[in-house]
Amino acid sequence: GNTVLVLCPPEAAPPLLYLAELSGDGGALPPGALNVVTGPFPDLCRSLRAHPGVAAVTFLGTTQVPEVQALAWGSPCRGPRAGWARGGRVVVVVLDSADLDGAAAAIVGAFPWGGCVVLAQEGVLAPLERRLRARLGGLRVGDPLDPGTDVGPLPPAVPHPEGLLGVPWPAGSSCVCVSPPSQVFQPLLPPGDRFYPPTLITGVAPTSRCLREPAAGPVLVLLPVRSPGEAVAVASGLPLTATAAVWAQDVTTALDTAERLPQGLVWLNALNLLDPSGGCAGGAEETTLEEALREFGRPPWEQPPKPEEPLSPEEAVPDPEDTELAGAVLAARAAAPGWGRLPGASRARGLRGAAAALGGTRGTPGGNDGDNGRLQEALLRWAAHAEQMGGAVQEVPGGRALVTRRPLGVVGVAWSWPRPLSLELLPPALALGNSVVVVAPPGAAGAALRLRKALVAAGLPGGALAVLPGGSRGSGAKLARHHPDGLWLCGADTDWTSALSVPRVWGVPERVLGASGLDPPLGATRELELRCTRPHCLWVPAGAP
Amino acid sequence: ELGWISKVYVNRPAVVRHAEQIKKWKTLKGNWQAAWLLKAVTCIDLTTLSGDDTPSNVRRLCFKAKHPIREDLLKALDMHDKGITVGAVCVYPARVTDAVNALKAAGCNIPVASVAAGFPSGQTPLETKLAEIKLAVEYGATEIDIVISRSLVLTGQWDGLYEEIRQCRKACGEAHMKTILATGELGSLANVYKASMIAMMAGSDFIKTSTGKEVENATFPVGIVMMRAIKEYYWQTGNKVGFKPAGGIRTAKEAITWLMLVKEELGVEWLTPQLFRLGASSLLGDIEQQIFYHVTGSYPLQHELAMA
Repeated sequence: GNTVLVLCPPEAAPPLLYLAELSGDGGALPPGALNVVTGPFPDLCRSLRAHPGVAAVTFLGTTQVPEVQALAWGSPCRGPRAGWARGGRVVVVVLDSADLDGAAAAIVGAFPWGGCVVLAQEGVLAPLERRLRARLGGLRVGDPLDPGTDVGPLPPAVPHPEGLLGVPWPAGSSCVCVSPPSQVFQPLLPPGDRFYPPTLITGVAPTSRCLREPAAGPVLVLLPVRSPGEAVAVASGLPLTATAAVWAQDVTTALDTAERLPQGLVWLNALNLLDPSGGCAGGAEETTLEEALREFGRPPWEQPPKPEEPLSPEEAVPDPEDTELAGAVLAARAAAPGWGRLPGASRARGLRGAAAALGGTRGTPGGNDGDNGRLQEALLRWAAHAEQMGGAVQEVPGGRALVTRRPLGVVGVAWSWPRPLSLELLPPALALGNSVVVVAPPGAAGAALRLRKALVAAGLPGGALAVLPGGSRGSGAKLARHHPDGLWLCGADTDWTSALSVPRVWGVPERVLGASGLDPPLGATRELELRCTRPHCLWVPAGAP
Repeated sequence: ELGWISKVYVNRPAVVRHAEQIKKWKTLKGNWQAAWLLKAVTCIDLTTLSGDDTPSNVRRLCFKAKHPIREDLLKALDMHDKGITVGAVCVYPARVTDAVNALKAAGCNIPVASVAAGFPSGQTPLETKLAEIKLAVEYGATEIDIVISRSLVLTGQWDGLYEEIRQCRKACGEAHMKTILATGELGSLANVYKASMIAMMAGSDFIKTSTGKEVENATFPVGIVMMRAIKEYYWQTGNKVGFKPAGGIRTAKEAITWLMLVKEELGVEWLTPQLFRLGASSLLGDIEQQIFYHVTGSYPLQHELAMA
């Protein structure tokens, strides 16, 4: 239901302009629904950012456009909302019980354009490499309109991979440019430097440039690993990966490895199968269709923030020191894996215990019965949620996708609204397996300490909740600089450089917890659930027809 | 090398998905299609394996084997002097003598292949299997298509299977041996791969998908798995073993798809009658119809093409 303005550089313009022209013809879309503007990129972005009519901004294409993102960045709490860039590499893990022919056929058949990194267990590295070379040798490079071509030219405005690969190699590694072999009749590489032959690179390490910066183009990198555990470690360390695939016939190892990989979409014994309805991974890294819709839609209880209105009064509240923040985030990070991996029932037990402990402290000085009651109720409600957060099973072409949600890790909450901290904001994050670091004005410190004590008494790790006094508008940026996995901004603000390191930033709308005395609005529960977790989709191909 | 057998993993959904892709390959047209069809003709093992085979229909088949495509059609394609005949003629052992005599009368040296070893079920004692092979060779068959005991595969007796095929190989002597795996009855694609490896290790010249009498005969997933086994065996030992899909191939389009699949999985060197055969009977009629259409522009009436 939104109208769209697409900004693109001139090299990428023709297909988009054609699309805009076609959608106007015959009244497919009303005039003005889809607009395409091409031109000098940095200046156009600046004007876009400043225009009051723009409500949300999202990016398509490679992720190496930090300048562009910087220009179009607005505060998450007001101004255009920024969506996250889409795209990334595929990591393929081939273990020793894999069908090597199947894996090689799928890797070369799919040939993802963002590049592909193959992690093969040492025992099967050599047979897999031989099969990959045999298949790459059979690919034809040519005119994209010719149905016989397998690999077309590089897309416009994409840097030529040679620049990336022209770095001197460490001794002993080989860069194999696999051009069409002479036994098969194939035309030579067509003229023009936009054609690049399918390439297999072996003998490099994670320190090499081709792994740190993905090269667009038909480039495959092959790395050895010693065990499934090491494969998970290496895959977690590669930057800019969006999806993964695990090839193994041993069902236990395969499922365990797939479970531990951090990528949002994991295929089992398959590659590059996509759900056309965009159900479990709507083409984007780490979002589902539901979250993608939330990017372009607004729940009814969320007011669009006015751009020029100050978010919170300018207060000279001293923020916590960097060392304090660092200590709190470190403790939270230490506590997060253990807490997040517990089954929902154990977490629920912890929260229920905390609720019971809080009930016993009713009537103590400084405690407000009404608020305490609400907090207890929130703890119990979210404990029940933690027990029931199972996930969904979706039928997809060729099998089933198991979509579950995983905790983000460390969630930072920066509160600088004029009212005291609403502690009901914390149970959702805790129940779903995160550790929370809160920066809030000192007004609610007493209640927060009581909550923390109750949680620790009920069995939560000490670092799971930390509340630090602070609360100026810049506290968001301060917290972001310590790299939490998620950042909730309640009135605080953050700038682009700090926010770049945080995967998920949310400008919390004021009414998500409900106005004082009233219940939270419908849909707020789901919103909170989605904001504390990230999706993990395991694509399991079902049996053959 | 039992070590090779223990590490075989085949993922069935991935193979089936790959096979589905094949059906979407672009179809050939015009002169290229005619060329591939003629190549397919030279690779056909023209087969008649029925209970009611008698010398007369075997004789008719052998003459058709010598002239698979009508003379004037070949002349229109300028291929009449290239010696286009089928790859072989395949019959039961009792009909081998008739086939040999008929081919001699026709004046050509197309090999005669005989099925043996308890075709089609293979559930006969090893002694009778070996005797059958020896007799077929005596009668003049230069190629023998043997059938394995599926029970050995299903119970995992790889040593026993190896021994059986090796003895059949010895009984064949100088004749060229094709091992029929009867893949429709082997239960899983991993078993197909393992049985192919054992058959190749025991000395087969060709491995063949099926007898043509099972419920499921030559399908693309099975063919892909067998061809991958052949490629792996070639990489390990340097020996090239041939491949023969048989049963259920009835149309010219399927024949071309099989040829394209062989080219993709094994390479161009396998596209010769020495390393690739198509076991078929009615396929030749369909190919001849397609060539007739290519040359004249219309499909033939029933009497316009010679009956096989």
